[in-house]
Amino acid sequence: MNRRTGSILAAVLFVLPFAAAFLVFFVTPTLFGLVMSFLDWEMLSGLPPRWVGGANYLEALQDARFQQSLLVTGVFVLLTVPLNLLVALGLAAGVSALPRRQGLYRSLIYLPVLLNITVASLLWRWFYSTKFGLFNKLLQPWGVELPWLTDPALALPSISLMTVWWTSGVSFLILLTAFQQVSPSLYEAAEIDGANAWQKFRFVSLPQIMPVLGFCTLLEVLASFKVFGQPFLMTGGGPEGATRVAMQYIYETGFSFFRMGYASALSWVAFLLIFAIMLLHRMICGSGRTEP
Amino acid sequence: MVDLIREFHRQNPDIEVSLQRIDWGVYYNKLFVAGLGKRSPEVFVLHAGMMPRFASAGLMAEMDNLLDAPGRAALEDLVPVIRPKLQWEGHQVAWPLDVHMLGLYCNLDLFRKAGLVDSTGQPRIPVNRRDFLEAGAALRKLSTPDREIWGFGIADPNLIALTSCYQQGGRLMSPDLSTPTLDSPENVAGLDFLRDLVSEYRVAPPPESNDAWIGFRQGNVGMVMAGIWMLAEVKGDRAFDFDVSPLPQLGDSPASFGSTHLMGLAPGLSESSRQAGWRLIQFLSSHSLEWAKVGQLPARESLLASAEFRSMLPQANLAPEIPHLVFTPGIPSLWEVQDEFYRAGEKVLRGTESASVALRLAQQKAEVVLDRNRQRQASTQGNP
Repeated sequence: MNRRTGSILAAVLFVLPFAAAFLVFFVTPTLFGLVMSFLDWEMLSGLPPRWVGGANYLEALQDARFQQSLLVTGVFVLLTVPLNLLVALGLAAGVSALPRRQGLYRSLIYLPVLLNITVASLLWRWFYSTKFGLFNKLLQPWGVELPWLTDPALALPSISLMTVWWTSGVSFLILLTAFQQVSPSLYEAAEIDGANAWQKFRFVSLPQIMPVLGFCTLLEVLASFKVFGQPFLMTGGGPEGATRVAMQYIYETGFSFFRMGYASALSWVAFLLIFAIMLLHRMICGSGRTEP
Repeated sequence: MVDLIREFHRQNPDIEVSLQRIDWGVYYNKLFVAGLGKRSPEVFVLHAGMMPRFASAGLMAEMDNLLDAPGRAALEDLVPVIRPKLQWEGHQVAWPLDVHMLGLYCNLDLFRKAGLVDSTGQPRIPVNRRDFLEAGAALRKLSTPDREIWGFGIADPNLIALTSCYQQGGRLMSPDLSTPTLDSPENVAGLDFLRDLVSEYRVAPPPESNDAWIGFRQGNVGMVMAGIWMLAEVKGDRAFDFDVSPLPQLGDSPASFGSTHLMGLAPGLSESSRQAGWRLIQFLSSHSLEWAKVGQLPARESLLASAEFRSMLPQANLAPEIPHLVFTPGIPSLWEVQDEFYRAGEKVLRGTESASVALRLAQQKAEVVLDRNRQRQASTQGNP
């Protein structure tokens, strides 16, 4: 065996375990789902699957509840992603500027991420309870009582706020690392030029961490599009569908009503939408590769 | 349940039972996927409402030939309201572990404070609509600027909406299960009454998922209708004196949402596995008093009549409700029909639509669901 063949063999052996798992647990179910999307298959009806061509996709395009769930998902993404990134960016900038105890603050800020989604959601559901919750109790002295989760206009922003609390630690940690990678010599040069703290952040830190910020944006957008647990546990999709996101609608169609064929078609429509957004991000932000 | 299985092992050393606890949220997904893959557990539990779906898919074995003389005697011992729920297309496919329903949880401290007591000083629990509204109003008056007290809390809006409609004589489906009857005048009256508790009588706050239950546990709600299965949760609080009573009759007839945990056998088992599974099922059924201690009622009349159960409070208080339990209709597409009803109930309780309009829309949607199922059935049989 020559050296080149040995290298190729080693590479294949390294890749093989992941590739096998990827093939079995991702590619196969995805393709199976694609086939299912062309079938009328209600798994628990006891009837065999029936080929219906594009009928499920046609139904998806005309399904007002699905369209509403996509709209809700889109609004959730628009509410959550910028807020999440702003909070993470602010926290990362603040903590990176601290002369000491960075580790303590890093741990404290990351702590909510470690909470199980059920625990976090049920906790916040209680915080948000209009009559019996913590937030309105705190607001009581000012005579304010907000219908956090029962007003259609307020429910989604409330869930978004909880999501920011719960997940911003991830982007914070990534951005903090990016801040710490910025060369101190750049700050020193800026100081010599008379830059103040804001100017150092705006003209030194921000351009330096921009690729990482772009990466965080993509991660947040993808995660927000897949949102399911928070609205499912906090509002069940209510009030009146105001927080029923696409993933919940697909889940209910598939696993509550057992319409597997239709649920697969809905999943593919959602997937194509997310994929299109990813391509758009790539077009706007570039491929992320830097010149050698 | 762990103790029961341990005792079963002691009495049946020839049978090995491996108990698996799964959260309800994902339980049915796992069970049906396992069933389709022919990997069902030999014995499994499911709610009465799910049985038609599983049985129609062929995921539940018939038990007819297992009904020997003791089995038939045990069948006769089951409360009559449950017996029809054990059969699918004329065959015995399930056996009940328990029966469960809603009860009226009352904060007795608040009742005493509001003067809702009888001549002996005992709290006066409402038994009819008038008493219920009076109690609600009296409890509401306990509110202070610092602390708001509610007479009633709509703790589980979906089940309470169903119960309110049942008490008015409403049902989700026609008696022959062929047509949805969501927009019947009785159902409209049931939802109207619930909405009136919030907007007209003002004894209940607008419902917010299960939060009225939290309000009850905090001592801020005088009465809630909740499942007897919630008992363990509030029993542990010990924050105030409480009791659970049968639901008051708010409509034309007494009724409560009822259900049962059914035990089923997987199809395709060897005869020895079937016999072993059957022995386990009969053991759990005959020892269901143990199970009742955590907040369910036994489904056997002999156990309900036993001194041990009658002293098991507050579960025993709810035994008189059993004949009036209304189970969800035995149709495979129950969840979809029910979902339309729940959506309508939410709109009505939030005051965004009248009961008649919301239920009419729900009726139309439910008819689409049933039509789709009928068409599928017909096309599969080559009879479009």
